Amino acid sequence: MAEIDCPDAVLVIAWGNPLREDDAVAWHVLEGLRSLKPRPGLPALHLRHAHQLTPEMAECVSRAAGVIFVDARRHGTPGEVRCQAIAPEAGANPLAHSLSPQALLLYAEQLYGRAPRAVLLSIAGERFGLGEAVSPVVRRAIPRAVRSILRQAKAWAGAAAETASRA
Amino acid sequence: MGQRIVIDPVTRIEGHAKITLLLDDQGEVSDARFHVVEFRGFEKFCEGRSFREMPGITSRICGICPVSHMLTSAKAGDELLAVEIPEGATRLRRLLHYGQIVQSHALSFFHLSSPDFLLGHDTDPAKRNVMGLIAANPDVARRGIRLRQFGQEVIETLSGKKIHSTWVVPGGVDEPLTSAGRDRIAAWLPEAKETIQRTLTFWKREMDRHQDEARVFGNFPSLFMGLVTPDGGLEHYDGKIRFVDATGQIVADQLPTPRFHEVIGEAVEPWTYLKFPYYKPLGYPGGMYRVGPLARLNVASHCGTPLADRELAEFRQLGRGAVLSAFHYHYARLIEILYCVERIEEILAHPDLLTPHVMAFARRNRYEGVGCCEAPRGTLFHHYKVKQGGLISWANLIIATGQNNLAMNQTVLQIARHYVKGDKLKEGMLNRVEAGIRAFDPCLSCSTHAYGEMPLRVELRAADGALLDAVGRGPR
Repeated sequence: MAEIDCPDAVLVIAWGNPLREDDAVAWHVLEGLRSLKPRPGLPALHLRHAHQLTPEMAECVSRAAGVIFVDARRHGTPGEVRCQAIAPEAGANPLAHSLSPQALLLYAEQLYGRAPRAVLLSIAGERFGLGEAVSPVVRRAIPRAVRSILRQAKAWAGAAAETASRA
Repeated sequence: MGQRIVIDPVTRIEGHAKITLLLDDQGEVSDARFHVVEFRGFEKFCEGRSFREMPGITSRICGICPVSHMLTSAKAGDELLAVEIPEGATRLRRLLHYGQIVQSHALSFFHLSSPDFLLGHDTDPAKRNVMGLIAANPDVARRGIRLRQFGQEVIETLSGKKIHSTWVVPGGVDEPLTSAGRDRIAAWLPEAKETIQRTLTFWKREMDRHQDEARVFGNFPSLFMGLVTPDGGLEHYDGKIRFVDATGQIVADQLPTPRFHEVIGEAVEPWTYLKFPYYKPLGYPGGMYRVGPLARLNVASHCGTPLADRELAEFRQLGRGAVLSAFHYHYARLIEILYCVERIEEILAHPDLLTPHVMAFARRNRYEGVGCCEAPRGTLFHHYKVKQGGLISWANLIIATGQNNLAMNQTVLQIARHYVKGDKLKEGMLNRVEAGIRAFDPCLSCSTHAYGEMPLRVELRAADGALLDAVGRGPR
């Protein structure tokens, strides 16, 4: 049976439509993470971008140390970055071509036996028309989103180290 | 006084849809409208871009079939360059395309539609989803995911990315395949073949339980269109246009794809942004035709691979001419997966598979080009006109979901006439209307270039427009 390559690290999944202006902000956040120069204390991240969340991602999700989902959202003050813990849940529309992050966690749990800890980091968008440019207010939020992801990954790594030392 | 019912949104299809059911004075369904309410302005957006950028841009329309847009756009680019691309590039493009069809069909069958079959149309919607499927049959769910992963692996191995690659370009492909890549794809083949053969066996038993759906889910005469090889065989990447009628008789054949506009017209209606392509010689709306897996198997004289040909012979027993019921799109999808797995195996065994000659270099030599291939949901056309310098001055994309628009409306009407009684919408009817549309696996992302999740609403209305009942599903 062919194996799937899923590193045991914090998985960052950024998704959105890169032709719909601010809907693409998560892709830009991922680029921000990719451009970071290696330095001591930088957490190990496995970065993945997608147009939408789909069922075959569940296996990698189930093996990750933690998952940070990054997406644009339609509501809220444009540029506002929000980070909330999420848990496995079927949701109202679990079988569209795309899945919600909660449904993807449920797939991981039900099919592969494990749903890791996960957060949804969302950035409120301003414009969702046809276009490849992200609006200025949303672009300014990208560094904040990058810092927030690093903080979250470090917090998880710290908690894991503490648990390991107790054991 | 007539009445009207609206279903809004259809879940488990890509994009945003609303369905309106109109009742006549006797309370019978007189008309049904499948509305697409997201505006499509993508062609305008492309103007001023270089045709060489178009495969990369158009692949971003959709997360499910980006490869189809990329290939079709690159083929339009080949026409603008006026080159014949190297055989090695054609082989790799085909390999990519077969991987794409496998992953897309697997998503449609295992994750969107199989809960309807395995759990029943009358099951509570809260349970009639993939979680219910996992609970009822985890092996089917897991195998479905693995099959889709196989298709995605083919795409990623070839193009470096699962989505939005820029590997396919006008003139060929950017990089040849490596031996490691070939071996990685080959390692999946035994499992993929076993999964699809087991699924076909399961489905042929299962179909007996769905006679009722097969009778009323889009079971009406129409034309069917698809690409065929010079000897009339199944074709997904290249080929020429063939139309057959409901009796299976060929009504147009071997029409070169750049001449599609001689037989395909596009009508518009004020209540939807989705256009209505039709077969010109029969006019609008009489020229209704269907595309996609069911149409392809109806137009093809044979598949050209041994296992798929055997399955096609059995499939043909379902109809006296063409197989008419849209319900059998599911069956056709499975046969096409098997066909694609066989073709992938065949291509991987080609002695010149790893050739480095995968690109033809040229400048723009024409001002107009048409690209065409069979996307998972049906025939896809990209038609470009360019200015000096190769910048797009005009673009038209004819999408499979649009070409099935007339037939999807007819399907909703047929199902509603069968299941809607009185002026209230019942859950079982809603499930069946949704499932009837899902049989086509419409992609409204492609047809409207929408973003995010889009819900469905169904409204029941009297002939004077008065709203009698409405139900909705999905995120609001």
